[in-house]
Amino acid sequence: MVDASAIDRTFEAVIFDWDGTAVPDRSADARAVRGLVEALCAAGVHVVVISGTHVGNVDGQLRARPEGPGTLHLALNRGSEVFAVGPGGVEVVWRRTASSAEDRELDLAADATVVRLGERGVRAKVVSNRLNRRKIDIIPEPEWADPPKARIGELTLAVANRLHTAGWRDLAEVVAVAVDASRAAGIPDPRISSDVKHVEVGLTDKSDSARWAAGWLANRGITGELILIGGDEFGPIGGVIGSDSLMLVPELERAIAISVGVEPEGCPEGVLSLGGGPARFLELLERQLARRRGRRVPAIDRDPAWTVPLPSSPQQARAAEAMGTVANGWTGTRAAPEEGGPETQPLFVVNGVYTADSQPQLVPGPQWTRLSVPGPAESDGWVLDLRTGVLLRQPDDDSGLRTLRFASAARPHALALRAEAAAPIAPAAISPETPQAPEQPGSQFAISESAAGGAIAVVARDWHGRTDDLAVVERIAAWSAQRAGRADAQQTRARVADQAGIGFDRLLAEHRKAWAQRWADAAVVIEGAPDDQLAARFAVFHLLASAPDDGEAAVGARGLTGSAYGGHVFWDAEVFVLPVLAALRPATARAMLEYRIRRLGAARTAARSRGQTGARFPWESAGDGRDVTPARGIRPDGTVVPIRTGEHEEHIVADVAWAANHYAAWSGDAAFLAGPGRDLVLETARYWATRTRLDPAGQGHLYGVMGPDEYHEVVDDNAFTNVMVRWHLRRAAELSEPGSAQAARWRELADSMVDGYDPGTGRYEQFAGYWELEPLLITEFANPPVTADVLLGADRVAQSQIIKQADVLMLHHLVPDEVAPGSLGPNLSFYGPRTAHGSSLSPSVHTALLARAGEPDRALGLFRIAARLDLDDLGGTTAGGLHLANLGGIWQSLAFGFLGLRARGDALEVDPRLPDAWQALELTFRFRGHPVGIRAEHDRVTVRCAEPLTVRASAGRIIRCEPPDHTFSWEG
Amino acid sequence: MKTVVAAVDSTAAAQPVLDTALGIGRLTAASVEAVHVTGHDGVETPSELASRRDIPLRFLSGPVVPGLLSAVAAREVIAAVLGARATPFGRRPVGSTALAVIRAADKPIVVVPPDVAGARAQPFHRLLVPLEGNDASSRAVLDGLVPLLADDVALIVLHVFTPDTVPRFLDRPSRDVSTLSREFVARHCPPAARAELRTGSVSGEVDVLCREVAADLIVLSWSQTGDPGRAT
Repeated sequence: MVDASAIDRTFEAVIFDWDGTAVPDRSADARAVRGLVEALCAAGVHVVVISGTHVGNVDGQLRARPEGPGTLHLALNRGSEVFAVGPGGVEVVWRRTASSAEDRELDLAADATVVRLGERGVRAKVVSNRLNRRKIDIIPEPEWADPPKARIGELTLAVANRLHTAGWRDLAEVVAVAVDASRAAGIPDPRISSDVKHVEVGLTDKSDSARWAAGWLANRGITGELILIGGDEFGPIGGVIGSDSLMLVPELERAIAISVGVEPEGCPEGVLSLGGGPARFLELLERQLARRRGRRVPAIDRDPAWTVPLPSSPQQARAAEAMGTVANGWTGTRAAPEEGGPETQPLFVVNGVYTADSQPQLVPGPQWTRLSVPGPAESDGWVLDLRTGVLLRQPDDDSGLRTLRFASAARPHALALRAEAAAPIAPAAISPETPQAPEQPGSQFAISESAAGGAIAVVARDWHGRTDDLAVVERIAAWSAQRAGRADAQQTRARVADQAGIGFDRLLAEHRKAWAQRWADAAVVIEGAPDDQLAARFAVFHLLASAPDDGEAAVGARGLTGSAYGGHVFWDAEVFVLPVLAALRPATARAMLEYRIRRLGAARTAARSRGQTGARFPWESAGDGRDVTPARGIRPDGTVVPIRTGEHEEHIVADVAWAANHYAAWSGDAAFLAGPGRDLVLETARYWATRTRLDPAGQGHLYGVMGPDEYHEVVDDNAFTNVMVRWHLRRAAELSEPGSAQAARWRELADSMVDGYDPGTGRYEQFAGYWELEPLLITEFANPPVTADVLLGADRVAQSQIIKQADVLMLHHLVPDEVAPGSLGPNLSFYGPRTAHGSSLSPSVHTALLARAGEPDRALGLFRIAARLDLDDLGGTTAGGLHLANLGGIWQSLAFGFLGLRARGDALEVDPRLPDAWQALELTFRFRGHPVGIRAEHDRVTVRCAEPLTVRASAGRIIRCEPPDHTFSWEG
Repeated sequence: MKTVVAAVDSTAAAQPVLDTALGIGRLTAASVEAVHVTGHDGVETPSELASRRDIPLRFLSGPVVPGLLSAVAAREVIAAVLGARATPFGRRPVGSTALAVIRAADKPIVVVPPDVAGARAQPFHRLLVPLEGNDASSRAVLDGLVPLLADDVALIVLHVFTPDTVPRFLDRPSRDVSTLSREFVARHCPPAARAELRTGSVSGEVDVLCREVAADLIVLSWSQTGDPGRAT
């Protein structure tokens, strides 16, 4: 049920009927409408006029020539044409043109309808032959030649009398006759409408106009509640549905619809009946204009499929701040309250800007969202809008502090915030430090620097005033950063001046549009499981926001959402995050690899310092590429322990090479693997060439390493490491000069690597001696996921077969062609009950593998743990930032697990396994340079592609898919 | 006016009880009143002990436990101090009288071992607060104790993981403990200076950390049921 409060919001678009809604009739003076439409467009509002009549009538009457940035479109001719209107006039942007056959069918349908009316005593005639439609006058009497809208009641009565006299039930019966006649004429989907006087037979109607508008707006991130639909005939008239109800298409389901018409038979549910005619409608437009000019806080579309309400309890406040981070790849701003407070952990960081000490961390930048708020502010009402990348704060108390903030996805250096409250809020200093040199009035400058490390400068331009009895603050901020040295204050000032010139509303419009474009290549639809779908979208949202798409991208374990691990880059980046971005945003994946490429020198130095050749990437990396893994840590039992991952968890060297190859395989970026990517793969392979030890039997070993399972710290011949190295050496050989000695040597070494595989059982031994450990199962102690080392003690766990996370099984996930055929099942059966899933990296990998093993329903259970890990703060550490690897694992489990996607040269392998609870799973992504969509249902797969695509389905079936889509049956 | 009640008798516990009560009085900016339920013999009369410390003494009559509970229930009384048991030697660390009082009282009770050394005139600055990580145990401390404390008192929280509270995920335990610790403080006891997260035996870890941080007082919130393995 819609109530009047629904229109007390700022709309981004207004779609309205013309005759009867905006103007009383077609001869009315439309100057007031013109002024409002042009002013709304100037304020950034998109306006769409929908009418059945032709452009001459509407444009001739409206005569608006808006200059933007908002747009004016006329969607006319009952859904058959759309015109864009600008300062230069009117230009057609879309038109449905009937074929000659369709025109013949329309003539036949109209003539047949007139004949059938005449046969039953109603004289009618075809009065116009317009684009895609024919108009039949069913009351061709002089008195009713051109009835004004105001006489709709009398007209309805006159037509009813005319029909009743001839024995017709009502107008609906006439419409039904027209439908029958049209179908008989060969029109499969006739659009029959009536304004009481006429019945029209057509190929299009207002629903086509509304669909066009919905699509156009959705491409700009404007959906649902951001759209106002105005009309005057939503309710039925004379038994026929109101013509404006055709605008209520499913694509605009959540839009706010209002009627200013008489609505003699009432309004349909979901439409707010205001009455008052065009005068009332113009009041609404004026109100919208006033909200814009008063800089009121914009609205969001609270679509439950796209919005995440943040937890509001003080206990969850810091986790909520991480969840609500607004990031644009370059910067991240946690969802800390604008007024600050003792329980908050505000953070503004810039990707790759670290301190330069022995334990570097991301430099905490100026707190650009700070406001002065008298008294305590409400903690409830925070909502993250995934679709448009904005964070809204709107407490239940209408007079409470309301804010909206975003980090522009369109302009990397733009940050913006608006706030309003009944209380006298005001801008506050964005830095706790002593204010810098005075800026111009309304501006403030702050800089965060680190000794010899990075620096971040922010300039904020503030406006504050009052509107609607509310105090309003608008802040537009810009940042500059240096990885080493001072940030450029002048550059920052210039940026904020540019952005202030663009203005908040336009920055927001650009930002929404940029997110809409991001989602176009990254859609996730899980039908039948809205919670799973929202969690997956939450994951994709934060992944898309985690890294920039040019230059280099340092993706820390918690991305830009928190300070845990100092923002250090682990294998999480290459193995869990990069595969997602390679498919959703390849330029960002490339930037992640550039981060490693630019640190090859440091990696070479690290290898040399160990007496090895090639390049050794560090387990933890920050600004300069040296190993920044801390030497010691404190375990939960209070003891200080050495951290040995930096010394021994060397599989990251192969992981980086794997990521480079994976990026190339998905993106089709051949130049990368022929250039910098090749160097990356070969230099790292050289490290293994000297790091590997050959025993007297000629078998290759890696002694003193650590696999992903960190419960067993220093082991020999970790199967994961050895097999990854084997894959790495073979791939490097393929990329080497054909026939070179180096390639031959690497192939030979690869073939020599021991891998712990037992053909008798089909199992890989996780490392040398693992079989001899105490054969404990985690389920004997607890229900996973659980931190077994905390529960049982690190020493006890190390002596047992209980493992922290997927280790051997990571091979089946990353390099399935490198493990023994058929070995997934035996290893899942063996290692599954021994896996504590005490790492956030584990559940999603097991999810993917259980799906591949044909157990999608079991997989779903683990998927839901991964999906809720941060949303429910299952580990208690989300306050330190979101677990980015897990977010990556969520998407990977959907793509590589449930859909069974894999790059096979130019072909895409698709082999879905859907859990019963899901009706369909659909992902869109880019594959080898082109957008692709895969939708799997339980019995069919639909491939959407912009270019022809070869799909390898189950059982080796090769399917050539042609654009725009191709559906094939699937028996999974 | 705030008052701390010191329940004394003629046993060896009287002296440490009075001295501890003075410390609690300073901790909470409250005056101290001693109460004595008459009818017991002892090595030194409560009157002499209280007088020596300028503590007023009130004599109560009747059964001991109801008498003490009545004194504790008085509106101005914010806390009470009583001896754990009569002698340093005993089958249980907390005697029946003390147990009955702490089970029934709805205010903070400080239970003093009879052999506590050096209680006299020792200020309380560092309080060790073992918490179970649930709302009930935190609320008792936050609502019952924290409002009474002077500003210079440091609370150090201890949580010993149990199978029910052990984290489900810790990617790098030796790195995550600091985040987890900060969160524990923020969620369960924001006024605390820090939280120590431990594994092992609860009583053992309380003992260990008490010595490590030189705690002046251990603050236990409990369900007043006296179940085995709990605060008693």
